[in-house]
Amino acid sequence: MSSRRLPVYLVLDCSGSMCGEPIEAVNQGIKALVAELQSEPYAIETAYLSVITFESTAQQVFPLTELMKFQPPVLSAGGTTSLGDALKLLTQCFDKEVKKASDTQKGDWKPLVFLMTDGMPTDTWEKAADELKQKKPANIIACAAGSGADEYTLKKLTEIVVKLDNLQPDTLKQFFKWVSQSIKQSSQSVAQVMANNQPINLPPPPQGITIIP
Amino acid sequence: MSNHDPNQEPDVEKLIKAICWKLDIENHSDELEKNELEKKWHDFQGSSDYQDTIEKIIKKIAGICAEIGQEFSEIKFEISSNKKSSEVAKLVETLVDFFIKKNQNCSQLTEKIKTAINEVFKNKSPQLPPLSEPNQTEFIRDSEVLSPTENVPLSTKNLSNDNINTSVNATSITPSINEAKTVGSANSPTPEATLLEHSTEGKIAQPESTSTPITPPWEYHRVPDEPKPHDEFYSQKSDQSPEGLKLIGARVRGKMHKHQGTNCDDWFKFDTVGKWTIIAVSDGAGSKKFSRIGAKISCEAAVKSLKEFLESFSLCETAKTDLENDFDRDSEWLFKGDKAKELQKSLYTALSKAYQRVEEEANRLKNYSSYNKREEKKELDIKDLSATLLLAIHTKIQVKNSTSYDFVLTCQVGDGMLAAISHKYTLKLLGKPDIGEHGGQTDFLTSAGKLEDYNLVQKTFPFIGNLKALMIMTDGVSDDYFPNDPGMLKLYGDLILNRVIKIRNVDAKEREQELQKTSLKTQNDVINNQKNFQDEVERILAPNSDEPKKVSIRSIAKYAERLGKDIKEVLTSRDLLNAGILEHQMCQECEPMEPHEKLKIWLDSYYRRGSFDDRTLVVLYREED
Repeated sequence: MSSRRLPVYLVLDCSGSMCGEPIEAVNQGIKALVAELQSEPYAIETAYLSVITFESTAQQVFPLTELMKFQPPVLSAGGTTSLGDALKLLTQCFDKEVKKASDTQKGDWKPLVFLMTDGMPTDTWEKAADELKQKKPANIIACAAGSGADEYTLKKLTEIVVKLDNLQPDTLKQFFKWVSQSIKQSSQSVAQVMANNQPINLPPPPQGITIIP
Repeated sequence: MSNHDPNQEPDVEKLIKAICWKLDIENHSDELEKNELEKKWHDFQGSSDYQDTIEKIIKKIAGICAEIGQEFSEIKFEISSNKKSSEVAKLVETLVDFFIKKNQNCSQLTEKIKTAINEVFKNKSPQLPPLSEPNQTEFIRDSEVLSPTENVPLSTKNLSNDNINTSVNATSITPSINEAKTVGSANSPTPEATLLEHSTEGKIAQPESTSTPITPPWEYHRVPDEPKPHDEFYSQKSDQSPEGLKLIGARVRGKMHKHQGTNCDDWFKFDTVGKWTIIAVSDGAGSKKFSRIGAKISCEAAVKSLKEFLESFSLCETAKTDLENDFDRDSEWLFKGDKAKELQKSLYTALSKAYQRVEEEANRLKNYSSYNKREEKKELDIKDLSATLLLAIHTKIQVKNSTSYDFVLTCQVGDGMLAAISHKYTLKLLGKPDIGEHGGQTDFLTSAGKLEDYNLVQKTFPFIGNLKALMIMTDGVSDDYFPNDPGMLKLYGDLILNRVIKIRNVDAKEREQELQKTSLKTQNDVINNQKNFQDEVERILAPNSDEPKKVSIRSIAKYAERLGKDIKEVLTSRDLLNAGILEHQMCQECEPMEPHEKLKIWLDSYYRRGSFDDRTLVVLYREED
């Protein structure tokens, strides 16, 4: 029996600058996020997670999988920042994995994407970003982590951009907590009938994270 | 870490190591070791005493918390009867967090926990009864001192739906686990598990298409004290339905509203005038706080308007072929005949009237402060009463020297579905819901342009023939039977299998004969296979009760699968249907119930993953005696 799923993609920068404490904190953050979601009934019934990482190239380290079967991957860092590759891969994943509504199947809820990067992109990415911003196949929340990342660059990808003050373990921990709350909130509100194209509601961000207007 | 007990096998030690690593108490950076530990963990999850052991570990950890002191009252423990490792991990993390904050030595705590885990394994012997552990009573006493936060009033009493999973705080851990044991053990594993060969969560090798057995911690909160609340459940039957036809309807609050403690947003209303039956169903927009008022008012206004018109309109004596011609469509999709045009217009007028009344009500209510969004300093407007609306009118036409036939005309704005099943069990969908590309998007009575004629003609459908059943529902039900063709046949089949709709009995011999031609050869085989097409859930049946009752729901799709037949074959065979029903009742309390009450119970109890919406279903059907 088919049911509507809420696809959630975590697109994470694993470039060299994330080496050491930052990537450790990311790993912990994902674990905590999954644990948190696994106690939320809406998320259990609807959320499907996937993780895409990018450094010199982009890869989908975990395909779109239902929450209860999802295993937090152990990520490592090294390489450059191929944001363009990541965006292209993300689009491919949408085409391959996200179900559109048709006469014979119920479409998935609009996917949620949380993208985090700590530096400037090193490949050509503007075209892919522009397409995603125009077509809006998903609700994309982009996060510029630390001083090396530029939030205005990310604005070319999506309207919803947040900035992390730094890459400290605690800050990253707060970020993932906020991501899990956002997913929780989305999984609750997708069940409500909404007028077409209503913007998503996000919970207020904690200390150390600022929403860029 | 562990005492070198010569009686302990090295295997158990490895297992303990794996558990500690999984709970983040220990760190192992060696890749090989990590893989080994991961495997050990998976095996453990799949083992038969996983649940039991995890439960003991949780109890021990909770005991350690109790020892630590009163400041712990702010930490809420959440445990489901599955006792997943993730919950244990979360508990541990919360504890560790707490200690970092308090600047206490974190390693001291982790040592305590490691010791506790070791103890669990040492004490693990098959003869040891689970509740005789030494610190049991102490733990209860200490945790009573901890008195939980007040705003979790629904710990053990209001049990959540589908399966017993209670969100509890420290005080009630032990009682609730017991309760979950006694009540939950009466449950078969979660509904979806019947499709699986094995039902433990640890086995990840399951194919993607079968669902995981999940028991999400759904809560149950009563209907809140808000302006104009809707009752928890509601069902109704018509005393004046046309000859030979029964008319029933029911509306129940969905999992989401129960969990959030908010009102049901659906409404339905039916009425009769002369030979006409009028049915209206509405679903208030989930994101709008007072949409339930919009739903109620739309239904009432539409029914009133149609009643006024149909009082003096008759299709008596119209020959079937004449009527069919009348309802032929021209190149612009408009009906050709005059009678058709008149009836169609009456439906559109009803929709307009509904819109007008909703607008009036919005204007009236904005003067009352309880309706205004104080925080946003915004006044109530018509959009806050957004709702969908589905309308159907029915009459039975008797022509001289000819047999009678049924006529139905429908119209809708928004989602939900209307469907007719003919006496030959052919399905005709009488609705075309408004849907967006992604789930959850639809239009409402209050959406721009919805009430323009050119829109409405696309949503108007006639049925001329012999009706077995006419079903009208909100998307809470139609989504669960998607795609609606042939989903609506399944819906009808489920109503029969669960005895909401009665069918004629057949004797045992005929049943056995038919069964011979299926994969389940005899009646006995069917009985032995019952668990494969029946799910059991716990339901609170009366709105003010706290006591859940067992409800069994049969599925025609699964039954047909067992028989090796397709659904239509089963539906058209009274013998096979009877064989699937036998003495089945959804619940003990159901036996003396009337059809509309049974409809309500069924509506509230059938399970679909991801189905949280309010459910409303109205059925006009021919019953066999």
